[in-house]
This record gives sequence, C-alpha cells and structure tokens, in this order.
Amino acid sequence: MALDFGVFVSLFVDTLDYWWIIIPATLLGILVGAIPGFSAANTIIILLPLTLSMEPATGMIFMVALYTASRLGAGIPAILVNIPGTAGAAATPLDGYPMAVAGRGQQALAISFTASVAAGLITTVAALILIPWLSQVAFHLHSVEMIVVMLFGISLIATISAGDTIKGLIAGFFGLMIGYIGADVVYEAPRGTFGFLELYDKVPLIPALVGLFAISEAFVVIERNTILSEQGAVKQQHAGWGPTFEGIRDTLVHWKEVVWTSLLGLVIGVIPGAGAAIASFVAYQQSRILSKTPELYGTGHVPGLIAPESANNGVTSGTLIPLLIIGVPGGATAAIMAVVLEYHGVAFGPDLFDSQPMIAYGSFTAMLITYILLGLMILPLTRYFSHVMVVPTVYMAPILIAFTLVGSFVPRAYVFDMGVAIVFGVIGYIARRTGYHVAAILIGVILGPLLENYFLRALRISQGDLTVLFSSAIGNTLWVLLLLSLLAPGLKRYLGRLKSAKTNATK
Amino acid sequence: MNNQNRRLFLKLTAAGLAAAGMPALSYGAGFPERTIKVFIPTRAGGGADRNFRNFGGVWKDYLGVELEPSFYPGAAGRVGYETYMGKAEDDCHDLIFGNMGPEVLNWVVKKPNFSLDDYFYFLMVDADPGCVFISEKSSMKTLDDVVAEGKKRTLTVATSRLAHPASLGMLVLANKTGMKVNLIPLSGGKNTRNGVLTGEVDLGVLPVTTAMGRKGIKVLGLFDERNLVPEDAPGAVLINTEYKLGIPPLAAGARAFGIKTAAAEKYPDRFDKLRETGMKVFTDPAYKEAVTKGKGSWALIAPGGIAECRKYVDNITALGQEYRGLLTG
Amino acid sequence: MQQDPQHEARNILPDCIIPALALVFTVYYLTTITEVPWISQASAIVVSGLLSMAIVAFIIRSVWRIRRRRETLRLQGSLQAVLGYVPTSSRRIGLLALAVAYVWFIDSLGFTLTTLIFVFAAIVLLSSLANWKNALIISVSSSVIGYIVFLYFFKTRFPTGPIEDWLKSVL
Repeated sequence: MALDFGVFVSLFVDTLDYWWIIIPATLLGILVGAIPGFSAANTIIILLPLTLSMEPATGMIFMVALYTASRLGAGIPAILVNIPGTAGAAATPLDGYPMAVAGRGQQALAISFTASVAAGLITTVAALILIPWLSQVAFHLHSVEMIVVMLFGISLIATISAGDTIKGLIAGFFGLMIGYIGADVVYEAPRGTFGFLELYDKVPLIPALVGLFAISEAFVVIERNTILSEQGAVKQQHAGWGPTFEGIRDTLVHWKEVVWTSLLGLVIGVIPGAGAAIASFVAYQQSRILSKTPELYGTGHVPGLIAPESANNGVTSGTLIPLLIIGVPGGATAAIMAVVLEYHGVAFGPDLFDSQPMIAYGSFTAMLITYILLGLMILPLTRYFSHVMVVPTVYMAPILIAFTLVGSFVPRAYVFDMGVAIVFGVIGYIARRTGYHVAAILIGVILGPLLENYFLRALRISQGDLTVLFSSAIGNTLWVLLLLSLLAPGLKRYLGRLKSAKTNATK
Repeated sequence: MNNQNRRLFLKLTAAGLAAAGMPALSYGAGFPERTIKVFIPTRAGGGADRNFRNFGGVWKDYLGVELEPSFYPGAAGRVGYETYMGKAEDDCHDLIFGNMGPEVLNWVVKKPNFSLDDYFYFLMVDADPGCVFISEKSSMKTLDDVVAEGKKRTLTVATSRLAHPASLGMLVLANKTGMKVNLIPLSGGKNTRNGVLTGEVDLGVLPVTTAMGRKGIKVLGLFDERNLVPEDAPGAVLINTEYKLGIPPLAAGARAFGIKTAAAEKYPDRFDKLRETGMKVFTDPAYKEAVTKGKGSWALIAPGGIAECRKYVDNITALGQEYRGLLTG
Repeated sequence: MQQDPQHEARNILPDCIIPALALVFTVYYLTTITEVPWISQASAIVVSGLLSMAIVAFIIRSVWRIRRRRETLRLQGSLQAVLGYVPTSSRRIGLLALAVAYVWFIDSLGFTLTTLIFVFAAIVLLSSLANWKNALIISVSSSVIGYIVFLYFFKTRFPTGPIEDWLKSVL
C-alpha cells in the first residue's frame, strides 16, 4: 500500500483524463453546496441513476469532485447572508458574516476559499501518506472517546458568548433539550415530539439551521437598507480586486492555523459518525483558546474564519479513508459512495489500492485536482459574489425567506419541515433581539443528539455502569485535554494578571 | 436475444393475446396513470433501498411508469408506515416497501396508530435469514467459542434494532444455551457492521445479505435450516437445528411490497395488475443480473404472494408475542 | 458616572422570553418521558438540571442587578424592544404572517405560484405598492428560477399546483 512518488505522479496524470467529469461535478458541487438544504449526500442520492450507470472509477471521481466542491460552495451563503448551506458550515458565519456586514465580504470569501483549498491540498496529501495509520483510528475511537470529542464541540457553547456566559449557557442547554426531541436510539421511545410523527427522527437539522440563522436574520435586517453596515457600504463601493488579494494574504500569514486545523479535521473525518459540523466547532473552539486575542472571535476575526473552513475541508479527505480501507464510511456522503461502489461489487480493503488503484488512489488524486481547479475557478468570482451584499433588504429578505423555506423542504420532502424552519426563525429572532447567541442554540441542536447516541450506546454496553466513561486510556487522555482546554482561558488570564502585578510591583 | 428484443417480444405477445380476447391481460387498462410512489420506512442507501432499486428497476418496464421511492426513516419504521397510512391515496399508485420482519415485530412491541387490517403485504421479494457474525480479528472463531465465552461473561451483541428477528434469534439462542448476551441496537445494518468491525462490540446479528461477503467479517451461523449462501458464508452453522432452538426458519430480512387494504378493495383490477406484473419480475433475467451484480444473492430471492406474506406475518407475530418480555428488555 | 439610575436601568423583561420558553419546553419534555426506560431519560434529566441551574443563576443575577437599579422589569417598551418601532414592527409581523401563509398554502397552490405570490406580497409589504413593477419582476424571476432548478433540474418532490400541471402538459 506504500505509495512511491513515481506511481503517484502517473496516477495524478491518469486522473487528469477524467477532466470531462471533474469539471461539471465541480460546478454542480459549488451550486448544491451553496443552496441550503442540498448537500453532496442528497445530490448524489438524486443523481444515483446517473452515477450507477457510470464505470465505478468514473462514478467515484464524479462523487468525490462533487463532494469536495460542495464544501466550498457551502461557505458562500454562510459568509454573505448568514446561511450555512450545510451543518458543516455552521461555524463559518461566526466570524465570516460579521466581516461581510462590515463590507469585507469579498475578503472573507477569499479567506474562506484560500483556507479551504490549502487545507484540502494539505490533508489530501497527508491522507495519502498516512493512510495505513489513519485507517486504524476507527478501531480506537469508540463511544466513550466520542463522548469526549462531542463535549469538545459542546464546550464551545460556554465560550462563544463570552460577553454573557449565563445567557450563553441558557441558550446552549435550550438547544440541547431541543436536540433530544425524538425517539432514542435504544428503545425508540418518542420524547417531546408534541405528537408530531415528523419529529420522531429528531429535529431536522437543515430547517433548524436556516431558521436560526437565515430566517431570523431576514426579520432583523429589514430595519436596514442593505445587509451591510453603513461603514461597510462605503467600503464595499470602493472595492476592486484588492480585498481578494488581501484575503489570500491573510490566509497565508496564518498558515500555521490552516495546517493544524486542517489536520484536526482530517483526524475527525476519519472517525465514523463524526463529521464536518463537529470538526469545525472543535477547530473554532481550540483556535479561540490558543489565540492571544480570544476576545476578537465573533467580531470578524480572520483566524475565526480560517479554523472552521480548513477543518471542514480536512474532513473531506478523512472521511474516505476508513471507507476504502475497512469498509466503514466516515460520514453520510461516504456512506452513499459506499452504496455506489457496492452496487458495482467493489470490495473494500487494502487490496483495493492494488486491484483498483483508479478508485482507491484515484479518489484522492481527483480530490487534489478538484481543489486546484476550485482555487483557479472560484477565487476570481469572490469579487462578484460579494455584490449580493448590496441588494436592498426589501428584495433580499423575501427571497431569503422563500428560498430557505424551500431548502428546508428538500432533505425530507415534508412541508412540515418548512414550518419547523419558521418556528426556529422566530426563536432565533427573539434570541438575537434579546442578547442570546443563536449559534449556542444551534450547537446544542446539532451535537445534542450525537452526544446522546454515544452516551446511550456506552451506557448500554457497560450495562448502566457510569465508570465506563473513564475506562479507556485514549478516552482519559481526551478528558484531561478537555479539562485543560476548558481551564486554559481562566489560567491564562490569571497568569497574565500575575505578570502585570509583578511588573507593577517592580515599577 | 438481448433484453430490448425480449421485451419487445413480450409486449407484442401480450398485445396479441389481448387482441385475441384474453381477459386476464386487459385488467386495469389505463393503469398506472402516473408514477408509482413507493414509501420506504428506512433511510436511503440501506438494505431496503438496494433491494427496491434492483426490483423497481425491472418492474417499471412491466408497469410502463417509473417507481419513485421516498424514504421516511424513524422509530423502527413507524414513521414510514404512519406516513404511508396517512398520506397514500387509495388508488393503487402508492405502495409501501418494507422489511416485514422487524416492522411487524415492532407492532407486537408497540401498536401503531392505525389498525393492522388497514394494510397488507402482497409481494414478497426475498427471504434473508438472520445470521451471527464476528470480526475476523476476534479471538472467538466458531459459534461454540461464542457460546463458551458467553457463559463466562456477558457478550455485547450489535443488532440493527431490539425488535428484530435477528435479535430474537440471538435471545432464543442465549436462552437455550445459558450464555449471557447484551443486545446493542445500532440502528441500521451499516452501523451494526461497523460496530463489529471496529471492535466496539463482541459480535453482531443481521440478515445475512447485510453481513456476508464483507471484508473483515466472518459469518458464524445462520438462523435457518439450510445454508443457501455456501459461497458467501462458508462453514456457517445452522443454528436452529444445531442448537435445537425450536423456532421456525423465519427470515430476518423479508422485504415485501404492501398496499392499503382500501386501495386493493376499491380497484381490484389495478391491484391484480400490480400483483401479476410484480411476479413477472422474478423470471426476468435483468432482475437476476441486478441482484447478483450487487452484494445480493440470487438464492435468497423468494417470490411470494399474499398467502406467503400472510403466513410470514402470522408466524413472526406469534413468535414476537411468545418472546415479548425478552424483546422489550 | 453618577447619572440618574432610572435612565440607566435596562429593561430585562424581553431577556426573560428565551429562558421562559426553555423552561416551558423542558417541563413539557419531562412530562413525555415519565414512562420510558431510565436510559432514555438520562441525558434529558442531566441537561434539564443544568438548564435550571443556569436559569436560577440568571434570576439571582437579575434580582441583584434590579436591587442596584442597574436593571428593571417593566412591560412598557418591552414589545418595542423585541419587535422594533412602527413601521418596522408591523412589517416584521406582516412578514411572519406571509411566511406562515406560504407554508400553509404551498400544499394546495403548488411551489411556483405560492413562491411568486409570497415574494411579490413581501416586497410590496416591505417597500410600498408603488414598487409593484420591481416586485413583479423579482417574484416572477425567482419563481421561474426556482421551478427550473428545483422541479425541472433536481426533480425535487415539491407540492405541485395549477402552474406545474399546466407546464407539465405544455412541456
């Protein structure tokens, strides 16, 4: 399975032969990524008749390119209009949208794209080198360890609303309670469903996402003429190509941030069941903790945008590894890819890299090519995309509401889900107007059910013994890290105060 | 003769027979008028999805319209059935495609909001026996090893759902042999397999199609009286007879099409057309090709009509009632 | 900074809406899990405990601040604080009503027609009837684009109505 450079180059060149499928897949990927409700996974499902009719290698390359491009697409509405197209982009607006409101939308897009492309390239190469080791991760991270990984993400609730921790916690716990609506995984007992069958399978994520972010935002912005703030509008008018280059430069300056958050995403992507959402929340949280200027996060801070975007692109390459090597998909999209490959009778495993290199290595080389293509194609568009921001809100708000309601319908085809989006829109609106962080609610809604699943599974396996939570070496190490990351900000403040006290004393 | 020619031939023959006044073939004229909508009570990309695609891909040629699946996962199939009963039209254009085993068993544990007489299954597609499987990395190599180990400590057993024929088989086996098992429901075949592969649980139970022929997985035994898949599950023990479980060979996966009783009664001619064209799929080589091309096994395809479905439902209901205590934990 | 404390006191009645919603929902949730196995109750019980603690902390803090006249609770001005002032407030309510109507009617009127009417009505509501030309252009083009992308290209199963039926017969 070890890959020497010569083989890699020839595979790369072979993959270039598939340009005719990579280019349309990339364009389609950007489009479906940018429309809320559509995602790579459900687009691939819609296109199954097409993919199933292709040769397995062609089909795989098509799916990989579409998946990769959809990640970048999802960042566009997240930054410009505060609508994360998918759960994986849910942490992107935290700093991306404030930048856009301040008239730095073009720059924010450039940052997001550069970080995504760089992260994608880094992790794809890293994945190729590290395949033998990364494929083993799934064997070591079980429910117990996953509980801690989820808590890493959930701890963001406490820090995200640093201005008012009590309110942040209320919002976050409220979100978690909402996340527990539906049948539990063990006994399938419906809980808190208001009698709606549509809520048995948990609160649908996309309606919650667009409701809390976009619909509530549409109600807020109608008091302004455009989404842009006043200063932002002035800035936007004078923009040329400058902000795009500024964005690229910003990202390159923070190259270390890109590298470690993307590798974090890669590792989380490898874990079955953990996906882009958890990766980007954890990356954002850790980036904030390690930062020297944590107070700037949430105000349009560059590293706050880089972290989630490079992490969720790291997930993209990670999610394929366990699928190809041990037949365990790392996420929802990889699971659909598995269906297609199984349909063609492709046998997963290390042998795949010898028997069908075009599927195994080809997936990664196709990803590399897609990223390069995206870099060339999408960066020049930043200047034009950001013009969306000057559309007057009298037009913007109705279109936003109509299309996000539509997006809420798409994943499950329930009109009910459009109603869910409105309910979350109202909750989100009240939360915004009264100083509660909508992202804190959303983190609860997204991660709550995941946390509960792992928790119930661990408890069921241990037959109700809570000490199981501290029963594994890896788990315990993660617990210590979690504790450290929670204590770090306070500790840093304390040390800082001590230091300034000392310098004052010496004066 | 290639497919196209063969179908043309079939169509011409049918037309000829109809012209000759064979009444059987003029049934349900003008039906179907629109796409047949199929409600599937599980997630897209699962076992039912795969089976449906294989079957529907061929059936559509006989019906002359597309079959469009829509997926309503949740609460062990309840969401799908309740949605079907609530939304489906009574005009034979809306069908449900489910797995009779776990779904009927679920009614035994928890009654649905509709009456069980309001729908029935009429076209059984496969009989997929339950199996016990293990990771190749496991220290246990045979079912006897498993039983011996289970007498020493409680084994964790991954299953798709608690109320599943495969879970039931495992519980009966544990009951008979005195081993201790702890069923871990992981919702869905894929997750169950993953739980076993990654070593989180000791072993797993599933319909055999969802477990066999996968890398790193070894099928140890089948809850059946014969091994129909000797190539994919070599050396699998026949648990029902070997351990004298005293249960009938109930398939853990028994996918079937169902319909609202009201629809079949209102339009008997349309319903007959569905039944007749459905049965033709089993003799179509294109169907065999689709099944064998994927991970399926042709030996497990088990054509069945209303009577076979009824018998299966009655058997599984009786068994579910007998072991109700074990299923609800 | 010794100003008149009455002027400084912030009205926190609106801030109580979210905790109140959370509390009501949690109580409702707990009533639905009285008969499920404990394992299915565990997570919700832990979180509802934490939520209650956070709300208690919020109440204690508010009482403390009210006593120091930094915060106050009063009905007057609360509605405006949440909804804004006329005309923005009435536009917000109108927009919400239109959104609810959109979801209500989409099943019978179909995707294209409902979207067209909603976008048109919402633009007129937010600007004025004098703006009807722009409203018409935007509403027609967004429903046409929506039709092409969602119904024609992606074949999503949106509710259909008279327009879709007509288009189907034409195309």
